Amino acid sequence: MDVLCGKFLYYAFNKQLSGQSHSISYTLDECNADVMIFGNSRAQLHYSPSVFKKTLGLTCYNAGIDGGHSILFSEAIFSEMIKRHHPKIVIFEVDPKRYYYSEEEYDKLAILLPFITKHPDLNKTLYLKGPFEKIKKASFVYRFNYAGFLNIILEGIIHRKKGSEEMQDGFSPRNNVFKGFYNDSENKQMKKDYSANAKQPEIDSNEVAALLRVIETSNQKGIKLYFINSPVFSSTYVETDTKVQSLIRNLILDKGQEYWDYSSDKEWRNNNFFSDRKHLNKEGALKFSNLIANRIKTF
Amino acid sequence: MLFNSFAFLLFFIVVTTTYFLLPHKFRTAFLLACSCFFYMYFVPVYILILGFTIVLDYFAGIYLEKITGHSKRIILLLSLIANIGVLAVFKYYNFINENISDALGLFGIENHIPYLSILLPIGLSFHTFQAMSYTIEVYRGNQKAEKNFLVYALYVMFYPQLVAGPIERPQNLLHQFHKKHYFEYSRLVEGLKLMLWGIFKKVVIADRLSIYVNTVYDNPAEQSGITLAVATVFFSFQIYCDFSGYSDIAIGAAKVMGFNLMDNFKRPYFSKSISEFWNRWHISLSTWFKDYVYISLGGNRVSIPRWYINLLIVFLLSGLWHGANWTYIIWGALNGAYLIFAIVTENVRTKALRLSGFSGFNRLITTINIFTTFCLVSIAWVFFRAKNASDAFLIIKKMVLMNGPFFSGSKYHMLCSVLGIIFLLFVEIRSEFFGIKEQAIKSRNWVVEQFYYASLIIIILLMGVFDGSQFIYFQF
Repeated sequence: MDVLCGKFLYYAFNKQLSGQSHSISYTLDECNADVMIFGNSRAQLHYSPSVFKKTLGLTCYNAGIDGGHSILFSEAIFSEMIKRHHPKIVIFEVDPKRYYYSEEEYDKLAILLPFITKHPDLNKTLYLKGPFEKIKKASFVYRFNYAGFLNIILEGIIHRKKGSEEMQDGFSPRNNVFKGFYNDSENKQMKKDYSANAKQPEIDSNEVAALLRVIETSNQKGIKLYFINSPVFSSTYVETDTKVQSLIRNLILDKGQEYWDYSSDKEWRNNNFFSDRKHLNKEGALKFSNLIANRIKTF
Repeated sequence: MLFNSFAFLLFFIVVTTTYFLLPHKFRTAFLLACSCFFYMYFVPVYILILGFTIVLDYFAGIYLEKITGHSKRIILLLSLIANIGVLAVFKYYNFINENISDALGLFGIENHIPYLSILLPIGLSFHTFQAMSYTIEVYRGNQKAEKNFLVYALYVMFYPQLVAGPIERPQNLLHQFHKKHYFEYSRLVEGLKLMLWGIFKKVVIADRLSIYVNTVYDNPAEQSGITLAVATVFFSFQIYCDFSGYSDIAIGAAKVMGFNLMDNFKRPYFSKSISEFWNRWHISLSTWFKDYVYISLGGNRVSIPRWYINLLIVFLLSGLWHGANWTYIIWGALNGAYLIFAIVTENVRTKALRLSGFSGFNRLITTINIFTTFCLVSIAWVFFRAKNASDAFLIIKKMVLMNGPFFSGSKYHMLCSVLGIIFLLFVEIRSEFFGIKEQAIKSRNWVVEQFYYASLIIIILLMGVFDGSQFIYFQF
């Protein structure tokens, strides 16, 4: 039963034409874009490939994946893709908060499970999830646990369809406008609460190592890297994380790479550009993509 | 070690196999060593606390049996004070200190008593209550003192029920450690089926529901009334599947090795009244409070006002047992108030029903009673789940107003959650109204039966949430 169900899900999984899993498969197996964007939801929502295409005259694909995935995931996909295709430019959205150790980050590595059949080297990252992962992955259906079997059947069998042109490039902007407002005193209170409650978590050495591997591989392959921390609406989000913020920034700069930080840029404190406190909406994303594309062009 | 972890699966296989392979004389020591390992897998140092209460209660039991009169009472009191003292230090010290600070703050006085920076040992309330039941029963003469230290230590530390019950009684469990247990295929199958059903309830239903519940309850101010109402209903099922799932795994694991643990849940959401609910929910704790607190206070053989006070005391203590937070105390008080209200209005309600002409519609009345009880219990769960009392009151206020748009979250999670609840209700309705065992499928066809269990395993692998989430009751 396990093999039968697993084989069926694998078939449906590979039939998908849109969605997150399709985006990962496309990045691993087909994408030949000159400019590639990696990261979590902030990457997926903030960078419009069409803007980069227009400004730089290069093909572009946004390989960002929603779900708060860490650099461990992005590095695994990046390293696997690099074996087949070398983009000219790679943008990595940096979320310093993600560099704190969290078990949750490791649980999320289950997203790699459906791809290990075709890409066994992903196992190296997957095994960071836990000592029993080698045994657990023997189950064929377990490999599709994270992807959600209903999603797979729906998108791979029942309702196969390509996304819009924007979505085909991996960009999935949000159209809503954030209704919150920037309140300095509220932010100060949140910051105070955060400092009072927060235990100082450890910086995750696996994630730092993954970041260093991305830099090393890119240097070897002649890929121009840009690490970007895109805008956030609430200053609290970044100001409370100065320790990890400066560590990651210094690490990237020490390796001679570009680190562009817009996270505390006051020009972006406009709710019309945001869909929530941490994510730009479509208007904000297009403006930000233009800003980055032009900066890369003139760099 | 969590029951829903792969580590436990390996542990269980190794322990059970070795247990049956070992000669009987070594089995107690072996099970005790395994139980120590199981407990130390969380935070090793806390075994010392457990060791302290075990040694204390072991000797208390022996003395209680030997002596009589006033000294006997003193020994019992000392033993209870020591056990409750451990609970007070690790569970309630900071809570009490915080409230002293708040009270002194009203008069502008600063509290200089330091706070303790300690983690609550896992399952402390469970094994403390189990240990106390032993000394009380020995004191009452219902149980002989256990002379074998290893057997007594195993009674407190038996790994299936060590961290989240069922809270056993010495009369039920102690003698089982002296018996020779032989491998029985039927017990193995029955135990494994129960464990499978427990894991299903935990990882497929409870942990899936928790995704939506956590999202909504973490930020109640930004949620609408309908969203909060759905999250509250989901939480009712989450806590039931989480806790009864744990109990099923515990009872199943013990059964495989030849031990019978008491039932902890009997489909509580089909209760027709609050008192019935408490006879079906966390039975081992409810009966503990009934046997050792309620009856000791005089039960219902006192004046009516005193009877109500007794009920309220029991529920307040039950709330406090769950956690050092005002939300748990309010939760307990609310349940006590429900029960007292039901008793006070019983005659009026019966008369009103007779006069209304609906008394003949038994099924309709049963359905209304089940629904009303579920709603009342769910409202009380708001206090159990909310971060603080003000959040809980806000949630209830918003649920009453029922305004704003519905937030469904991830469609996949929502669909899996609803399907999980429907499946649970299907299984429990069969069990409640047709007498079919919850975890079993009755079929003459062997293939159909095996297909059912294989499907459960596939669903667990496919739809289970494997993020290493803890059981809610571990914190108590």
